[in-house]
Amino acid sequence: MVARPVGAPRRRSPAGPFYASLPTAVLLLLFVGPMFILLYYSFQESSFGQTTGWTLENYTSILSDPTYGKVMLTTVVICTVSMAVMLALAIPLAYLLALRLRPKAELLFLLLLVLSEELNPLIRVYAWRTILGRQGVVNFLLTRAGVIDQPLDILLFSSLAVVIVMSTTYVPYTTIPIYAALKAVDPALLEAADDLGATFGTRFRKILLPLAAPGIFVAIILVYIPLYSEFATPALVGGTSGYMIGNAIQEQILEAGNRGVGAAMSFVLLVLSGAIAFTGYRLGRIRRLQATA
Amino acid sequence: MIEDGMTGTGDVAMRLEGVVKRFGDVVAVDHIDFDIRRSEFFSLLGPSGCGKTTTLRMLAGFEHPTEGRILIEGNDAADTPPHRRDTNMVFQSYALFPHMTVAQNVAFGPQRKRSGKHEVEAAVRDALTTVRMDDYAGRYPRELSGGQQQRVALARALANRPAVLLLDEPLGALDLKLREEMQFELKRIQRDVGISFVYVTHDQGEAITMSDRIAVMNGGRVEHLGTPEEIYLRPATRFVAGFIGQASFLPCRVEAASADAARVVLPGGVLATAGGAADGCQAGTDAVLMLRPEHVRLSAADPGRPGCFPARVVEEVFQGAVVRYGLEAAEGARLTAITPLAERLDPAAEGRAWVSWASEWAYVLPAGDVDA
Amino acid sequence: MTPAGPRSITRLARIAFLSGVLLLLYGPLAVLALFSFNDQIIIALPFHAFTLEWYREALANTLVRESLKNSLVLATIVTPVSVILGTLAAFALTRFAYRFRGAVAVLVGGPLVVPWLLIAVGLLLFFSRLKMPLGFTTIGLSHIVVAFPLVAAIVSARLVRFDPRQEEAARDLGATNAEVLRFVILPHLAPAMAASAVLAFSYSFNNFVISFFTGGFELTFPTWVFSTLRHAQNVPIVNAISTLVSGVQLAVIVVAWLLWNRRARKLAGADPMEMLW
Repeated sequence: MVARPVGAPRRRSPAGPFYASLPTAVLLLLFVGPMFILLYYSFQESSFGQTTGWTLENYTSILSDPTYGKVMLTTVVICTVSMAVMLALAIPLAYLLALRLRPKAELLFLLLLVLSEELNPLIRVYAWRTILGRQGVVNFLLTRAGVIDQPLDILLFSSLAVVIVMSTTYVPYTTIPIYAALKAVDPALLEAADDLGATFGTRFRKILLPLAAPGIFVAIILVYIPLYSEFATPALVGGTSGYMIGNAIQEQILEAGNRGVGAAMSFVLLVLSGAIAFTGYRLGRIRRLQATA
Repeated sequence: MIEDGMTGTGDVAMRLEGVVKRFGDVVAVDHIDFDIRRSEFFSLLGPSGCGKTTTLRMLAGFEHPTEGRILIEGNDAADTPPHRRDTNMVFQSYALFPHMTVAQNVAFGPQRKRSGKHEVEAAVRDALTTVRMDDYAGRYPRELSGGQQQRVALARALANRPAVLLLDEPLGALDLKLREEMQFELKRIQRDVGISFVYVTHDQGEAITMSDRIAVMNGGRVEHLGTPEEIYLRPATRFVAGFIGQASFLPCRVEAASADAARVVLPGGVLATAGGAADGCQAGTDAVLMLRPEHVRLSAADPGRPGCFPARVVEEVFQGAVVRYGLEAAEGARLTAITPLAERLDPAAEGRAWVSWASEWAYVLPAGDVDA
Repeated sequence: MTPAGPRSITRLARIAFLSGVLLLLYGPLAVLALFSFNDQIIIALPFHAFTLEWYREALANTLVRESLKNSLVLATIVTPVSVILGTLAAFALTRFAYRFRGAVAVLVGGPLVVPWLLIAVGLLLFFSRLKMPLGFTTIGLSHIVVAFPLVAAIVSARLVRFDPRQEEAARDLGATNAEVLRFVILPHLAPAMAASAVLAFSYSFNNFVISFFTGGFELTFPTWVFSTLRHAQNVPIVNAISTLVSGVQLAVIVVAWLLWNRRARKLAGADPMEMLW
C-alpha cells in the first residue's frame, strides 16, 4: 500500500540518538571545539602561547598588509591555474573512461588512478623536485636533445613548479566525480543525437557537458578548496615566488609564535573556502536542474 | 461481504476481527473479518492498492492494526512480534541472504530456535527436498535463477514448520510458463505439507487455480469471500464479477429476486430470467445482469424462447479455438460472446444475431460502482 | 562510421593521452625508484652505478625506523577506532529518524569539507589551550577525527542500499535485534567496512598536515620526510625509503583488490563493484 523506499529510516526510536552519541561527542570535542578556539584566538592578542586580550588587530594587520595581499593573490592565481589545468586533463580523461574504454580497460585504469592516491603525497612532491631541478630529469633530457643550452631554472622553486606538482597530484580526485557523473549518462542519448545529425562538437557541448556539470562542480569543491590550504608543496618546491597562504599560516603559528595572526589568517581562509563551496554548490544545483536526465 | 459459516476454533488457524489499518489519513484496510482455516489454501485477491499486502503484513506482524484484533490459535497476537509468531513469510523479492549459501539460508530459522545440529540439518534437508532443490544446497543465491531463488525462499519459510505460511505475490517476477509451473508446485507442496497458505496476488487466474477459498478485496474491504466457483458464478458485487474472468453487464430492472432465481426487465422491454441474485437487489430497483461470454448463445434466427433478444454484431475476432463477438442490443447495451469455432455465426446473418442463454448461468448484481 | 584513417589516429591519440596521464601520475615515482639505486649522492642523471647502499643506510637510520614505526602504530590504532566510530555514525544517519539527524549529518560531514590545514591549526590551538602535551596521543586523536567521517560516508552509502525486506525476513524467521545485526546487516556492510578500513589506514599513514601541526616533536614518516627535505637538496636515503614504502603500499592495495575480486565474484556475480554500493 504505502511503499516505503528502500533504505528509508524506519521509525523514530531512541536507538538513533544512541548510535549518534559517541561520534557526535567526538566531533563536538575535537572538531567544533577547535574551530571555536581558532575563532577565539583570531581575536586575541597573543605571542608564544600567552593570550593577552581581545583585539581586532590580527585581522586589521593582515588585511592592511600589502605582503598578505600579494601572497593571497599568488595563492589564488596558483590554485586557479592548477584547477584549470586539472579540468583540462580530467574532463577528457573522464570522458574516455566513462564512455570510450572497454569495461576491463576502464576498471584497470580506474584502479590505477585510485592506486596513485595511495602514494604518500610528500614522496610525490620530492619526486618532482628531483625531476624539475637544474640537474633534474627534464633539464637533462632537454639539454641532451639539444632543445636548450642552459638548464631551465624556472622549473623548480617557482610558482610554476607548484602548479605542476599540485596538478598532477589532484588529477584523480578531479577525474572521479566527473567520471561518475558521465557514467550516469545513458549512452543511448549520445547515439540518438548522433542519429539526428549532431557532430562531435555539438554532442559534447549540448549533451555531455551539461550532464557532466554536476560532476565538474563536485570536483571543483573537492579539489579547489584543499588547494588553497596546501603548504607542503609550496614549501618544498615553491621557493619565494611560489609562497602561498598555507606557508604564511604555518610560519605564523609554528615559527613566529604569532598565534593570533595565524588564527586570523586561518579563519579568513575558512570563510573563503566556505564561499567557494557555497558558490560551487549553488551553481551545480542550477545546472543539475537544467540537465535533468 | 459473504462468508460461509464454518465454526469451531479447532479448524481455525488465524482470525481477523474488525481489523482496520490507517496510515495517516489513508485507510488501507477498512474493517475486515475472516478466518483462515487449517490446511487451506487461502488467497487474498485484488488490484494494486486494495490492501491485500497490508493485511498480509499485519498477519506477519510487520504492521499493527489500528483497530480490531488478530487471533492466532485463539490468542490475541497484538503483543507478539514477528519473530515469535507461528507464521513465516515468503517475500515477493525473495529477500534471500546473499552472503549465505542456500543451505545456510534455509537453516537460519531452525537455528534461531536453538534446535540441535541434527534437527537443523534434518529440517533443512526436508525443506529442500520438498521444493526439489536438494542439489543446490551449496550454491549462493546469486548463482540461481529467479524460479530457483523462489523455491529457496519457500524452503526457508517451510523449514520452520509454521502453522500458517504467508506468501506475498511470490510468482510476480517469473515469466508466464514458469509461473504456471510453479502454481502447480505450490499447490502440491501445500497439499503435501498440510499447512495453511495465505496467498496474496492480483492475478485472478492464479487465485482461481490454486485456492480453496478466495477473499476478493477492493479499497480496503473484502467484497466477496468464497470458493473459486462461488466467486466466479455467483459474485457478490459488480466489481468482483468484473475482476474475475470476463463478464458482460446488462442494465436491467428487477421484477423479482431471490438467491435462487430472479426476473428482470432488460433494455428494450425484454423479460429475462436468471439463476439468482446477489444481496441488495430488490424488486423495483435498477440492477445489472451478469453474463459470462462463454454462456451467451448466438443464433441467426429467433430461438423463440422467453428472454432472448436481437442484437447487432459490432465486432468479430477469430481466436483460434473460439470466436469472440462484440454485440450491441437495445438502448446501447453491449455484451460479449465467446463461441466455439464450430458454432460460429453464418456470415449470411449479415451482422444480426439473436442472444439467449441458459437461465442458470445468468446472475443479477446490484448496480453499484464498478471501480477497480 | 569513420574510415580507417582518422579512426586509427583517434585511437592513437587516445592511447597517447592515457599514457601521458599515467606517466604524469607514476613517472615521478619511477624516477624516484631509479635514483634510489644510483650510486651517487647527487640526484641527477646520468645513471652512475647500481647500488643498494641507500637502502641499507635508510633502514639503519634510527629516525627512519622510529618514524616508520610511529606511523604504523598510529595507523593500526586509528583504523579500528575510525571504523567503529564511522559505522556507528552511518547507522545513526541512515537507519533512524530523529530530530537532530540533519545536524548530525552536517557535523559528520564537517571534517570532509573543511581543509585539513585549518583543522590542524584549530587542533593545535585546542590542545595547547588544554595544556595537553603534543605527541602520539594528540596525533592519534586528530587522525581519528578526520578519518572516521570518511568511513561514515562509505558505510552509509552501502547501508542506505540495504534491502529492508532482508531484515524483515530475518525477523520473520525468528532473529532478535542482535542477531539481525550480526547475521544480516554487518555481513552486508563488510565490504564497505573493509574498504573504508584500508582508506582510513592510508589516511593516517600518509597524513602530513595534521601530524605536522599536532605532533609536536613526535615524528611520523611524512613529517620526517618533510623535515629532511626542507634542509637538504640531495637525500638519497629518502629515495630509497620512499620507494620501499610506496612499493609496499601498492602491493598491499593490489593484494586487497585481488581478494576483493575473488569474494565479489562468488557473491555478487559479474560486477565486483556491486559489493560496494
